[in-house]
Amino acid sequence: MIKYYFQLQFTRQVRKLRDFGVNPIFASLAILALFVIGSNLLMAKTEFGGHILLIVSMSWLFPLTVKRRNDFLKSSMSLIQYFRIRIIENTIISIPILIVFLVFQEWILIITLLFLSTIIAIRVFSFSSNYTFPIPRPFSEFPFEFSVGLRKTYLVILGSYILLFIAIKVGNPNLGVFSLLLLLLTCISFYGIPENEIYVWVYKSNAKKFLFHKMKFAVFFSSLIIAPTSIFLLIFFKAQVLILACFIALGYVFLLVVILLKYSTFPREVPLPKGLLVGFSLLFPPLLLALIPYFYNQSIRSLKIILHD
Amino acid sequence: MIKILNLKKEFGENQVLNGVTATLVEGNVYGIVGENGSGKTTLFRCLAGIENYKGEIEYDGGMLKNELGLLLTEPFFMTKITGLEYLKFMCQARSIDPDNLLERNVFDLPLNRYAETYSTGMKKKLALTAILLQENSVFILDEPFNGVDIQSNILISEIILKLKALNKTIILSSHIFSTLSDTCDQIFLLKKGKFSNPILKHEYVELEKSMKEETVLKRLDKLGLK
Repeated sequence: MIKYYFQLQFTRQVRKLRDFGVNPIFASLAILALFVIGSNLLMAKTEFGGHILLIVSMSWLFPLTVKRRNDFLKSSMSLIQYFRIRIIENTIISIPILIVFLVFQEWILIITLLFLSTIIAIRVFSFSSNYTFPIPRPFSEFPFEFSVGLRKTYLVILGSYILLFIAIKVGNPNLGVFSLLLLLLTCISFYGIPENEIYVWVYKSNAKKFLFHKMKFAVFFSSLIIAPTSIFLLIFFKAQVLILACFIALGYVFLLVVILLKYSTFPREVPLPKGLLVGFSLLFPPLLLALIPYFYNQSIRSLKIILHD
Repeated sequence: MIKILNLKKEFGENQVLNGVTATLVEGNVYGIVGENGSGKTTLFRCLAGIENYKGEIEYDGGMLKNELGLLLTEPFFMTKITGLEYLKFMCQARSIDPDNLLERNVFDLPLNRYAETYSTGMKKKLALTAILLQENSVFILDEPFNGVDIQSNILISEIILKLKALNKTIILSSHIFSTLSDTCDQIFLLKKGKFSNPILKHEYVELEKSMKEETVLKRLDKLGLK
């Protein structure tokens, strides 16, 4: 039973990568290489690299505590099997970071991670249950991306405001810009995953109008989210005005590109190569001049089918 | 009026719909019956234009999609969205600004709770409320009675009859024969990808009898229950 469970998990991951449009072996090697380089840099170059990696490991472990998933596992097997599976899968997930800690001889972090992963596995508490009390959001009813997104990421947004506060207190403009970038990235993430096709189909609109409606509201509501941070940064770091303006402009451009990217393959998820193209355009922005019209045309084509335009 | 002409749909080698033809007139309720996997939901998705198909679907009231209220067997709800927000979203998508949304909550749903936390029946009732508020002319209701409590089942039947009185076209599927016989003007049997001739009200008793015979008598023995 336990062996079959993990075989299934392995098969799922392989399928996910294939559906993403990449070769599983190539992707695994690329992810491994990125992890080795990234974690090494983090541990060697930063003071709190180990703590950041500990947080990263928690972000991998927490999604496994989702109530529906655990209820399903509990109902389909004995409690002993369930706890075995939970402990084994948490350990497997923690192994890469445990190895990094071992290499850098961070014994306290090793013990902390092992302790936390076991505690999360036996889970007498739920990290991600469904709140019955809806989190209020300052937006009107549409676009739904912002109501849903804000409720999912309000801790990140709060965190960015805390970073802003620290940046102002210690007079560090770079940290301030980072808090702004975090907000922009959060807004962009609201458009990362395609919604169910019914949520587009239901619109009485044509493809062009629909797309511009989405983009207009994305820019408007993103502006509402970044406005407080931008104002404080402009007040306290006047010398950085140009840099801030550049980042904000680039943030808006990428927000629009991600919307176009999402609808270019709608209702399917964005294949990895396309996502990589957008990622590459971060390093080489002129590429956007070709990508924007390309994604726009593809989006119109996809939306025309769904909206019967 | 909706004209379905020689509608075909296949998934790989599996020919699910193989020449469905029917004419659906406003002010009528049409029932679709068929075994699990017979293609009812696929037919509905084709009518809604979510699936590609061969054949023709003609609607004389403009673009069918924009006049269609679609209730799927398992309505999809985004996470972290309240019932009220869902209703508002569905209305705004059709450029409708409904008054007194809370008063029109006929199923007494807890609209300030996240829709994802609703029970199966509540989700169905929420999705049904949304398409009713959209003021559609055509309704496709895929298993509207499934998972819903008895009181709501009665209310849904009455809603269907009210929609019929308002000259709307209603197409529904159900595995509960009594709900179909109470509401439908005609029933189509979907078998091997095709519709039977329309079965009229006075033929329902005969239809139920023949379905029972086929399902119960021929198959029960296969189980070999001891």
